[in-house]
Amino acid sequence: MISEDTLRKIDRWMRNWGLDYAIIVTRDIVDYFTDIARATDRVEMGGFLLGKLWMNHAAFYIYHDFVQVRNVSSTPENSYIPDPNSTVEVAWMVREGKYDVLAVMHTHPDDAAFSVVDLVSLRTFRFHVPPALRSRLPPDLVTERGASQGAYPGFLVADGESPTLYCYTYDLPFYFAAVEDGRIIYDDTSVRLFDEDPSYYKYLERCVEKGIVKVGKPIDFVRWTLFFTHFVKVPINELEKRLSPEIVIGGREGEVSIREIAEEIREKMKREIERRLRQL
Amino acid sequence: MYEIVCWDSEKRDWAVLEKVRTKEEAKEAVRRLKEKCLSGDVRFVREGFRPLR
Repeated sequence: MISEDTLRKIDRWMRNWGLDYAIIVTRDIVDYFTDIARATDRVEMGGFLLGKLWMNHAAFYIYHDFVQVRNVSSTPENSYIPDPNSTVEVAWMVREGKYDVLAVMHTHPDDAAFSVVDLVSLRTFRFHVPPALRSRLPPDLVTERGASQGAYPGFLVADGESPTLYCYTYDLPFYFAAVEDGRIIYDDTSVRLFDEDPSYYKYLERCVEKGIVKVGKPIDFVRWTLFFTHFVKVPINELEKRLSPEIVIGGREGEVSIREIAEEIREKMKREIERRLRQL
Repeated sequence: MYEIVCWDSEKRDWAVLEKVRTKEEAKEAVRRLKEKCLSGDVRFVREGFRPLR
């Protein structure tokens, strides 16, 4: 995970830069991104990222867990629709407080960036939002019943010529960081789609205007969605390079990594401490 | 079906160079067509999709 000291340092930096939202992913999530990029072949895949909320000046979405969810789209080559039963289960885990925040993640089997459908879906997905976060979001993102539209980021892994991770939000400029053992291995600040790549903005707008893509929303809704899209683009190869290597001990059979050993030792120590505490 | 697209710096848009059936063919085509694209930015996408610059 990430230490509170590191969070406070980032928080101070964000205060200076006037940023209110931070999206943090842990090593496990980075591994998930790299694995799923390799596994994506012909169809779109995806799931949910789950995590905790930490707040001071800025609101930190810290994603440390994931659930892969079946794609039930009738055209999985071109779209990702998470299985509704699994979606309900995930939403309940957040409502029950097992996790504070979630995000939908999906893949593209090519170099395509987020589509207009991805962006409109992000803005219209309604999920439970913890009250602490609700009070920090722009009012138009929060409904009276606490469900929120566009309160969470979207993640996309595009497995094309150069596999890329996109993290995108609606109307929330943000700081993005990938962390490993409390160390920041990659970070970046979001840019607005409209400023960064106007030709892509126009392309997405044209898709809806000409009826090539149907999103079931008025064109003005689509334009505002595109206009307020913020994103970071992370080369997955770069992300992988910055991870510390997993040292493997032993031969091919029964390989054990240092990370697994450390995990095992940590578990044993935890059990021992619990045992001794019970004896007191 | 995948489209092999090249970034046209003058038109500031993607131009389709070729269409192929599979992802393997697309990866091979990207390598083959790199020199034919003035900007050198060649990618592959499904029909109807485009990359971000």
